[in-house]
Amino acid sequence: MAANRGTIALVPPGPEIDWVFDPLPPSRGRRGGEPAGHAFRHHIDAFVREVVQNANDQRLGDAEVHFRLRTVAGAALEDFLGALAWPTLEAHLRAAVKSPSGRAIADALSALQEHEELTLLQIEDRNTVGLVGDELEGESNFRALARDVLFSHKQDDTAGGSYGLGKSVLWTFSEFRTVVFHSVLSKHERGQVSPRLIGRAELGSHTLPNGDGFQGPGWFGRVVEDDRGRRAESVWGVAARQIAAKLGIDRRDEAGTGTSILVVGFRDPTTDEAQSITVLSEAFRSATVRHFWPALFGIPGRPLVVWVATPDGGSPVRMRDAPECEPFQQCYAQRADATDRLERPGDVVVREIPVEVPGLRPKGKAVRGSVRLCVRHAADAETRLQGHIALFRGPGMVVTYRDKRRIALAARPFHAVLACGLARAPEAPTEADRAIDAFLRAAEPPGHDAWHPTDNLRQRYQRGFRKAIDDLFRAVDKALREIVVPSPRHGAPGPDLLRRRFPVGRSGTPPRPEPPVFTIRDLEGRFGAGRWHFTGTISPENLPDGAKWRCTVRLFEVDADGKEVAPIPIETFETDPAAAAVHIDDGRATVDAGKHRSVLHFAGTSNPLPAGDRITVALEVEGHHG
Amino acid sequence: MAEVRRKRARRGRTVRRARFVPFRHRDRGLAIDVLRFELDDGPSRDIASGTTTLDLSAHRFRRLSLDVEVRVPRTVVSYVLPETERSAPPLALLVVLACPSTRLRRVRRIPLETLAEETASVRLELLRSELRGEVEISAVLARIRNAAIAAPGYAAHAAAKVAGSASIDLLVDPPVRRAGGYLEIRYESFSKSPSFEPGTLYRLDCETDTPILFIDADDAAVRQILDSRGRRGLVARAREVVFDAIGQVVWLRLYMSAIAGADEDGTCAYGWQDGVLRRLLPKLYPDLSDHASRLEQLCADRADGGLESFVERLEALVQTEVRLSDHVRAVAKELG
Amino acid sequence: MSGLRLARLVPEARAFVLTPEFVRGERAYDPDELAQWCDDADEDVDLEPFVASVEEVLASAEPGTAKVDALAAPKIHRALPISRRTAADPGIWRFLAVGVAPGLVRHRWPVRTLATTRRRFWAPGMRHDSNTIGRLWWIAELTRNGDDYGLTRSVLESSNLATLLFVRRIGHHRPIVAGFVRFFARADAPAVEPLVARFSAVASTCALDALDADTVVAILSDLAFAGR
Repeated sequence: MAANRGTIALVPPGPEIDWVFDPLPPSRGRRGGEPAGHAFRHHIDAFVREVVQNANDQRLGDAEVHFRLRTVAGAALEDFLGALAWPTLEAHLRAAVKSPSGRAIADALSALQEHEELTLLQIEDRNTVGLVGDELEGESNFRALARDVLFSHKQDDTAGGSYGLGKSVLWTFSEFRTVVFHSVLSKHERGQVSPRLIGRAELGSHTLPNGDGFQGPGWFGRVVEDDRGRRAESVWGVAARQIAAKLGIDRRDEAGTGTSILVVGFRDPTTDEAQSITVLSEAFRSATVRHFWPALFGIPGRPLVVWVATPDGGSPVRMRDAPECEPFQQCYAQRADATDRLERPGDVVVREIPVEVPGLRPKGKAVRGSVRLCVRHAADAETRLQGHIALFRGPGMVVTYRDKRRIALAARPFHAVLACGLARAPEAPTEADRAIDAFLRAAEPPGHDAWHPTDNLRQRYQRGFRKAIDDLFRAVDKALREIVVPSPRHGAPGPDLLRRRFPVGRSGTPPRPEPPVFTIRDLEGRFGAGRWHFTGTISPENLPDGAKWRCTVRLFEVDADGKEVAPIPIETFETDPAAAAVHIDDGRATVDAGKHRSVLHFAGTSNPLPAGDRITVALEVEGHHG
Repeated sequence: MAEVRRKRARRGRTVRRARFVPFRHRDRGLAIDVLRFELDDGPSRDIASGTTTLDLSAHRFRRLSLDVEVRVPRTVVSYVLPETERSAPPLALLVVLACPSTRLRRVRRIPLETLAEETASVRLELLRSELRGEVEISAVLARIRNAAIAAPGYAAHAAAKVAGSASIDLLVDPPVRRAGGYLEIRYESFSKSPSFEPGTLYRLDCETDTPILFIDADDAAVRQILDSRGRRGLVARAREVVFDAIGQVVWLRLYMSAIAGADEDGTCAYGWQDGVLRRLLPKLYPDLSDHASRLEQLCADRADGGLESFVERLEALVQTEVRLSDHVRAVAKELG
Repeated sequence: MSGLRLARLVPEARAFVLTPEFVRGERAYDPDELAQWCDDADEDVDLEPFVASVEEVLASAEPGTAKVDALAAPKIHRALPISRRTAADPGIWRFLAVGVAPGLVRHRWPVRTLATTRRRFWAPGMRHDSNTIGRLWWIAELTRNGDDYGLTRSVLESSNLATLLFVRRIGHHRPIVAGFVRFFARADAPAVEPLVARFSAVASTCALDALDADTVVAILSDLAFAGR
């Protein structure tokens, strides 16, 4: 096979260092078949999330993560491939081309042949635990990161990931599905001498031309063959350091304990376009800030530093590498300096949201505590991620930015932060905070990008975990609404559209000016000879055809306020022309005018009044029909 | 009831009233004019003759002087006095300035015998601190003593008003106006005030100068619907129905309050009730052509059947008014 | 209480402050509690004299009687040297009744129904069930002669007369009120109510501003004689 690379002189790493692939049937690697990379979408953000999280979880104090992107070509490439036992690996890669994910490998192989250049990503974490643990037994960082897939064995309860699955992201970003680990351990088992080096390829099941079948995973290291079979184990000490140096992942002393991870043939699998190292490094920077600003620039006492370096130089990531996240960071930073309400851009309102998480199985007690919601009034220019809420807990990794823009059309523009568990009050976490942190960790799916009911929750917690999560988000939504929907001040005007439904100050719909049915005019009143004498006319104007009509006339006394005081009975009443029927009933005169259609004159007198000269009288004439 | 209503609805009705006193009287016999005014130490400003409303509400004056001129035509004097009294009319011209809000009456009394010409000029000095709202200026001619011998058809008693004038209105303050003529609606936190029943969404307070509809501000989700402005979609439809639900009760209560508060002569306990009645009565009495007669009918119906008798009539009216059934149908359509 | 200043209670406060507990006298409000419902009055008035005068009334007048009115009106009026313009604002009377002297309202009118008592704290106007404090101030303003409150006391001592007169236009004319008081001071005075109504009817033919007290007494005497 090596003959295929005729232009490159290969120098093997050493007689006992090589790739060993798990033959069929499977070895003690606890997984089989394809890598788990298809379980969730991988893009640079997911990659950065996973690897930084791994480092963050393994920190022994102030941790650092260094991303280094570089390319190797020419003689350096030859040395690199030689150190990686390329002929063996290449044979298996070519065999795996036929596997479901083999197409990308084939492309990568031809590109390598054509360009003779390889992009490498090194992720070096410092001041972390390192790949501690026995080669074959027990649960350890080593086994979790390098060997097993399905189980996580992280440092403590606050670990960002609950699943070992996450690390498969490393292989997804290698076009050769090959990753090498070089680690200075913080703790050694008997016989172990740091550094430790091991490589792993994650191929699909494949068959070499000689007919040997392989499960898929292969290991790069010291070849061991005993009664448990042939395998590659970690290389230790000086030998490991030599290989690491050739691979360009040697660790300097000041890096302390920790692991350097080499992704061979780095490539963003979500894009077909080749990305320059500059573009990639910017993507690393912004993704790091986007997902780790709480750990990097938020939570006190948990400083995390992440560097991104290219051959042109490197520097730590800064908050401004992801300017869209600055409002969130400011929001969380002002959690102790909150205002009562959001009035001006920059104002921050803080609410404690009560949470109750169910007890652990089998008989743990439910825990009551709270999470902290911080909401910041956005400035006009801060449009990106506006209306989102950043969720995170102890590790300071943003689980997700939930889109809450629909919370209210009339809401104030905002950015919000939900700091849970150990991130709620990192200065002084409570037992409840720890319990909530653990609960939410269990609620994170493999992508760590949500909190929702998981199998993990179901297995570890008693009933009620689903409700606990629902209640949490409902309470958060409610509180958020209260904060961002402009809270009417005391007596703030109500809904304008409702107001418009009550035009009480208007004189109604001035109805179509209905023509009066009757015209009444020439009303006259005169007091003489002890009686009131009155005259007037009434004429029907707009009567329906054939309608009969009547006219009623009455007199009454009014007082200084214009109010009716007492009736003044009518004694005589007559009309011209004489109407058929005039009644005087109870002092009122009524004329049955029938179908009479012209002007009717009337005249009448009141009863005699002794004190008639000292009052005001009102004459009222009413025409009606029907 | 229904039968009665139908009968009433078919009936067309016109009413007119006129008032008389039992002696010779000229209601508009005097002519009054404000000639000019001065605010504080400002210049004297002339006013066009025939002005009936003088709006000073834009000025924050402290002192106001008005020059008023009243003309008392000799013909009017002759008309209202028996011949025996015409040579020395026992009359006084009163120029009256009245401010209903402050119950102020400033009266200038001019014995008619001191009047050489037909016109009298009066200067009225006023302080802002004694005025509020509107001021009416008018003139009356009144007897100053009882007649020695009562002449039939002529006023004989002291203080009898034998002639009057139109009035000139002076606006000291802008007329009180509800925002755009609509009901005032306010958000309040119901949970923070014991005045509100727990679990209620709104409360109308209408036994006061300006009715106010309070809406609970506590539930942001509810406010989201109430404050929505859209015309389409489920939220807008839901909002309309919620408004209908509120609107029915609010209108019913506004109507009932106005019905209860109305007097035959059109005065209401609170000013807003008049506006509400002017809106309601044409619907209640579509065949009556003027407000006065509708009002009178209202009072008659109220005396007959009591306030309760209106509830049934208003029930249908407020439903059609808020278009409840249309809006419910729109929700149904939205839901498919 | 020193430092308490006159303020106006805004109309929309009604729903909040006239709770059954308050109306019944089971609770009172601190000025601070009411502050959210208050605007500045047109005039800045120190309320210390007012508070003192109310205390005097509460200490000396028998509750539930017209004597409270007769005693209180001059005191209240003297203690509140405000302009008519200021006094025309119902908000200040609401503030005084609700926030400063609710005890006076309930002292004068024992609480029978909530609705009526609410009016006594709130409603503007001159009806007997209008804002108690505003009504008394206004009656004093309309009936005093400079610093002489003799007529004020006299008219208020007859609860019936005051109730009937001041809701009518005729009650806004001091000479008319004076005539009534003089007429009804007679030992053989007839029933008040029908005579007030008759007088108002007769007055409809008069220029009210032209009526002096003597003429009023003469008219009342005629009416009383005619009615006999």
